[in-house]
Amino acid sequence: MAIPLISDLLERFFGPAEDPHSRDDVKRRLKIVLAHDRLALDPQTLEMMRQEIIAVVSRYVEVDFDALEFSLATDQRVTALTANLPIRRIRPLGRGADQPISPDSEAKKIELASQSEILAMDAEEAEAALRRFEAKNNAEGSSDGQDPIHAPLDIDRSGLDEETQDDNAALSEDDVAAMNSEAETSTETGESGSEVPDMSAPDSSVSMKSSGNTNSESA
Amino acid sequence: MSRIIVMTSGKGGVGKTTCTANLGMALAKAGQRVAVVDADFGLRNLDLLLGLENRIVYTALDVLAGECRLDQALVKDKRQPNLALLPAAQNRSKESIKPEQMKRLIKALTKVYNFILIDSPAGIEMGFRNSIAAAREAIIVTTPEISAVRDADRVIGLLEANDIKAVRLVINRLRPAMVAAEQMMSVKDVQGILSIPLLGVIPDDEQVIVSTNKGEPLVLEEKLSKAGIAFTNVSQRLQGEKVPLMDLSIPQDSFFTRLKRLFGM
Repeated sequence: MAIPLISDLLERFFGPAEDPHSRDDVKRRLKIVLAHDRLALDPQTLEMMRQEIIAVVSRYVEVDFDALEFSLATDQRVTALTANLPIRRIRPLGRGADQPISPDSEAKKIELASQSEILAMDAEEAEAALRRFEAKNNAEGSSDGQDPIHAPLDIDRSGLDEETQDDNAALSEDDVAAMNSEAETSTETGESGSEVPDMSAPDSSVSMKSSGNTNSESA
Repeated sequence: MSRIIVMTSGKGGVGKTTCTANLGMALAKAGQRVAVVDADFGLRNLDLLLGLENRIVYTALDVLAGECRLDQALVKDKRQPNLALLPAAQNRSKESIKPEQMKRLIKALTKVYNFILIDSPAGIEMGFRNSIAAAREAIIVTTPEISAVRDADRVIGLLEANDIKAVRLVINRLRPAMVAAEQMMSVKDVQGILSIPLLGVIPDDEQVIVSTNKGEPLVLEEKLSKAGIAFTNVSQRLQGEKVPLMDLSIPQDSFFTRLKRLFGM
């Protein structure tokens, strides 16, 4: 029998040298993969959504593109899209709308970065926040003599809508149409699916999963 | 009201059939009238784990085809008369039976049996849909491994979408020493990620292989192994009893065992 090396002997006595803990790796990897599984969103749609969110936010504030972060996270079977958009500065009044933003060129600068303050909002909240922000801007812009508290809530969005069109033009029209139809179908199956489980259609039950989850969990 | 429970996992090889055989036997031992249904058409194995493979005359398909009565197809266990197996056909595919037919079979079984355990095949296709069609509860079997947990999560979503609300978790093949060394997800980790109530934890146990070799479920042993105790505990919890989780912590290495290892003993 060969005489074991001293290090070997030490290892036998004290147990193997500390490995990095693979338990932490598996937990981290599982959380990410499950967030995507549960949402059942394909990467293209996610990317389009990301670009549009950036385009909208960039109209009002200057976003720090180096520290941008979009991620999906789940907790207690609820999936959240977390967008972390560090703001460099608020755009000067009235300049937001007439500065065209090309989501494509700006998205190129984007990389996934690490932690900082997290900003999570769902679509409705975002819309509401947007309206509040617009109302505030309009109130300040026309504050010459007008009572800011009674600022007009009925906002003229025509300019903004044109701007949106311009942004979309950067994407191909087919893409947008495909995206719209996808969004519609997924909500439809979600609503009908959660009430009537359809065992015959394999695809509908797949999409029902994510929407079923979201429905039950938000309740 | 009979309890109709599907045992499912998504991933194959995590121990669905072993759990079904042992739970079914443990429930029968506790005096419940139990039917275990093999829903794995074409790849049946539940008969083997129960040691009933030589006693199959008819299968579920023969019942549906009207070639025999349901009670003729049921294989009654001689060791435990409270337990009966409804075998799957081995020479047919999973597409040879429809969810509606499965529902009819299970409904007929509820007239006699108060626990019906359905052993689902792996996957989320036709065989899975058949096996959940009649179920009102589900037991998710998983192991503390990334692929098994991911598949379990997917199946939990599908069960929710199909209105199966009572979904509970059995974590199989846990290796306490690896958890202690931080090289395996703990019970808490897995349960936290899947977020469904825990029904039990089965430690990894060589006796499982011995018992499948013999066709005798672990819970029938005179002196229960660790896994056998764990399965019995799960069956008691399933009947509403409060049974604490088994202590699976491993004793610290003593100076003496280290010394033994040092000399390669």
